[in-house]
Amino acid sequence: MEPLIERLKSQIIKALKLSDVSPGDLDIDAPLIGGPLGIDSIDTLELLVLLEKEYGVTVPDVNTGRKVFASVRSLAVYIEKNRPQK
Amino acid sequence: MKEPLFLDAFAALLPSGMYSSRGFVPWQSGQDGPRDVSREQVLDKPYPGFGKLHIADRLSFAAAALLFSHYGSCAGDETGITLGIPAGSFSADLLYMDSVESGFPSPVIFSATLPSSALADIAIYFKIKGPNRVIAGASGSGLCAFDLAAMMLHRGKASSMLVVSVNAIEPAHMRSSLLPAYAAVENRAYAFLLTRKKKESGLHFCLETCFGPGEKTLSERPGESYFDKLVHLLMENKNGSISFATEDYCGHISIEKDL
Repeated sequence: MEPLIERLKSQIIKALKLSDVSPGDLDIDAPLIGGPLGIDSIDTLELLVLLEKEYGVTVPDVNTGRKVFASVRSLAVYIEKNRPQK
Repeated sequence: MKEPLFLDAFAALLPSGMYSSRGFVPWQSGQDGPRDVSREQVLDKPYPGFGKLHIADRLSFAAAALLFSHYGSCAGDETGITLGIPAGSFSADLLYMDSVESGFPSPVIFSATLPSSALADIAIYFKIKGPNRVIAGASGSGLCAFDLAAMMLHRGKASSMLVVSVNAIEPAHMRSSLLPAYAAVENRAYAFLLTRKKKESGLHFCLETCFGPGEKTLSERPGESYFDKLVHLLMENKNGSISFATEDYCGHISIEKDL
């Protein structure tokens, strides 16, 4: 799980072009959306695209999305459970 | 004759460097002009959202941030914004087309294809809640923004108006056949704060505008270069008058140092 979390942190920063943020600054248990990173609903859609593009994972509905995007850790757990087996 | 207005503060990101009432700061070695402006150069506080702003939004925001960095807050209902953006969201449009072709359309880039997104970024960050207008896609967009701001002040719709004019194209898109000739100029962004009442301190200039229907031929070189002249007048602290004629607007702006 740890390598996936580290990779995700870098991918989130790169996909959302977050300034003033390095992977080490990201608290993996802090709320991902609406927190100090300024991630908004449009950014969340960008993260959905990232999940599909990089991991082949989709989020079926809003309620699932709320749980998935609660934190970097919850995102990693969801990817781990739902990514297609190679 | 219309009541004169006051130009209380200004900032400009030009190919040579950053201009404001605090002075001129050239770009650092290796910086490719305005498009490389960094958050630290215009804003004291960290702002994670700065990096995700696309070129037109970033330059507009940076010009406004530079102006407010030495002016202080202008938050509230009494301040409005007008934005002139001759090329509209041209670069964001092309980037979005690329993302569509890749099979994964980018929602973030799509939101930047709205020319008003630059205005929204400024209004949200600086808590400016007054009237706002965006003029996109014509050679006189910046002048029209200036004109609208003056009109709103004259009509009492706001006590201060931030006018932002931006020409921002990604270098890779400069040679696109889709790019209008008037937008094919070096990247630059301007911010001017117009007020109805004279303030107690700071730079004060009387401003009179006279706008009318434009001429069919360009007497200025393309782009918003008349604002370069205005910035140079302000930098030199001189009185003067600037005449301009674009395809869409013509007239003059006269500056008198208010002693």
